[in-house]
Amino acid sequence: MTHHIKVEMVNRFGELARIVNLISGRGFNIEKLLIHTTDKPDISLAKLSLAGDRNKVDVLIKQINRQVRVTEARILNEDEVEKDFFFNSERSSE
Amino acid sequence: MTDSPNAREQRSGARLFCEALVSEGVDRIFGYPGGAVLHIYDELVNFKDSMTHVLARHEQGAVHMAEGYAKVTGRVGVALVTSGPGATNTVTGLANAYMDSTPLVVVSGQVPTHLIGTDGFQEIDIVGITRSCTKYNYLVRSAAEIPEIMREAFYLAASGRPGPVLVDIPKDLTAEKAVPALPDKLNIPGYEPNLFANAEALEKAVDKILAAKRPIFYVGGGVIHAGGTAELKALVETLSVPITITLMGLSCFPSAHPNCLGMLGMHGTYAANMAISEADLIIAIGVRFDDRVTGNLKTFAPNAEIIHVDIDESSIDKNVKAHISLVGNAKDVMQQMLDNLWATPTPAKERLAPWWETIEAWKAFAPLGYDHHPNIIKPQFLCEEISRLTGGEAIISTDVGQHQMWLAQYYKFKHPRYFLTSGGLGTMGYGLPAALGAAIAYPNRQVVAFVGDGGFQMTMQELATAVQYRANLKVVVMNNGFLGMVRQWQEVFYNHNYSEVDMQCQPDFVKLAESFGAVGLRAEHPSQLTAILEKGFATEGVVVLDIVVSKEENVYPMVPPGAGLKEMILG
Repeated sequence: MTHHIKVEMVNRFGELARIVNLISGRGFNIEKLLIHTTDKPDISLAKLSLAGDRNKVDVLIKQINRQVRVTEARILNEDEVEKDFFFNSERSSE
Repeated sequence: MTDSPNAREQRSGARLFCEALVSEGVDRIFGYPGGAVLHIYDELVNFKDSMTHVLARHEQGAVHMAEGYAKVTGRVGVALVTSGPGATNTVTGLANAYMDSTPLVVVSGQVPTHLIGTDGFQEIDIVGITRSCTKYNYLVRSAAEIPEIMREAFYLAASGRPGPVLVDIPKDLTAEKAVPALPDKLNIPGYEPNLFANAEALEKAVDKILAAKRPIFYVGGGVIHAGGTAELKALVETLSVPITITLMGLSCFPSAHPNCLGMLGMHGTYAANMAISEADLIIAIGVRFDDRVTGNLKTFAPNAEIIHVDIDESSIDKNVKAHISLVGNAKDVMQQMLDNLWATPTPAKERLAPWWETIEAWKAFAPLGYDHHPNIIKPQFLCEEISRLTGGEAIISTDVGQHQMWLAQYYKFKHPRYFLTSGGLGTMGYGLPAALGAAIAYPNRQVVAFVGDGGFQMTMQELATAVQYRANLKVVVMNNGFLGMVRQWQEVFYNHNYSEVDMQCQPDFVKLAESFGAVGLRAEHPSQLTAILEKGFATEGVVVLDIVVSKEENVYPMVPPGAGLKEMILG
């Protein structure tokens, strides 16, 4: 099952790398990823999708939350995903 | 410090770094110099009155020493290395500290900023390499950042669930001048370790404990990190509940206490594994339900509700679902439990009498034991003798393998922070340097490194460090000429097909010790053992005791990998 995840972190070099490292180290493939700065100057927001067993993803989310400079990580609910253009956009390979 | 720092005066990054160490109260640095840290080593000389540098013989040894120092003192251990191979040699130590929640700050030099990304001499992206085995890591980008980063690094290493932090400093920044600047308060958004558990959940937990018919405490290293041994003893005694301890937690509760069932898990005692399997309530504190503890998760404690106390929320529900989770510092949460218990009538000891009767029957059915041999030293006997002769008053370290399990089974632990072992990562070669770090922290305490002949040969060059710093360190080599635990698995699970486990060529450990300027002693017969151990322990300085033990002894009880805890092979 695919899970859509939001991760809020401090806007600083290396923070995304720590999270991506954590995710890939557990064998999850990131299917979609978007990261951008926010109106809070010191906070970045990442949105990502990955497939996996819900229990394992729940553990992963806790481990992302454990990262020192992550301020929030959670699985988005259906409503939130539906309203989010990024998760509903398709990209061709060209 | 050589002179009082003038807040507004510019100084080099190297000096800012040294001042930061002093302001964190660092008195020992374990390290190894090299090109990228030359400015720092040049400056270190000016700080000799505050900090002593210990020159290891390999960077892995330096990090294990810092781990040993941190484990026994409860303070942050510090290691300093150069870039490239100096930095990559720290990876095993960092990973070891990460798995066993040891507070460390490891500082590596990096090539000068303008050379980063050019494949410069001794350049490696150590921040990238160590992301998954550090609690946090930093690449410093200006000298002015050094004070704040160092303050943060020490805070992160020691707070919450402790762990290693790496700080990578490019060489040019240690020469660059800057004015020291520190914010009044550290600002780390997203990092707020929780000390106290939710009061409502805690009350529910206490109610469950008071109602349970077959409760058991299952505790681990988190109790030691939190300094919660007094609270634990009070809880166990107030409630008359049995307790079983993980490898990492062993020294947090006296082994000889009547409520103590010893270690649980793959090589745990029969009573501990039966009790945890039959319990109706497990009060798990500062543990993470490691696979070596639980065995097959499907058959783990099938009838038990679980209360899980841990400061790391990601440890809760990771392997085993908790019925009540209490996220907080073990010491503080146990104190909360005690406060709650004192408000309610304590349970009568008699209530748990049937449970204790069953446990006593398990204890009597299969106590730890072995057969003596008239001519061969049994490794279990060696562990018992070390325990008896030190009276449990020695700081003792191990490597990984059979000797580690036998020591865990037969040594009578008395004091927290007196046992150093590589639990999570299972690092051979940890024992000697970790013990040396402890001996340097506490020169007046008895310190014993208990290692196998395999692990000893991985880091034995640190004997030179031990002799150089006149450490009072006894190294007991349990010499069976085999990589014993691997051999045991090959015997039991691979039909005696011994593949590459026979250490046919060994150095003469007595002569080896002497060549390092240490004392070497050997015992080969049971009749020699006690006298040799006594002589070795009574000799000042570094002593290597080569104890030749039976070659093909197995550690029992043993839960086969993937089996349930009740499926123990008793031997």
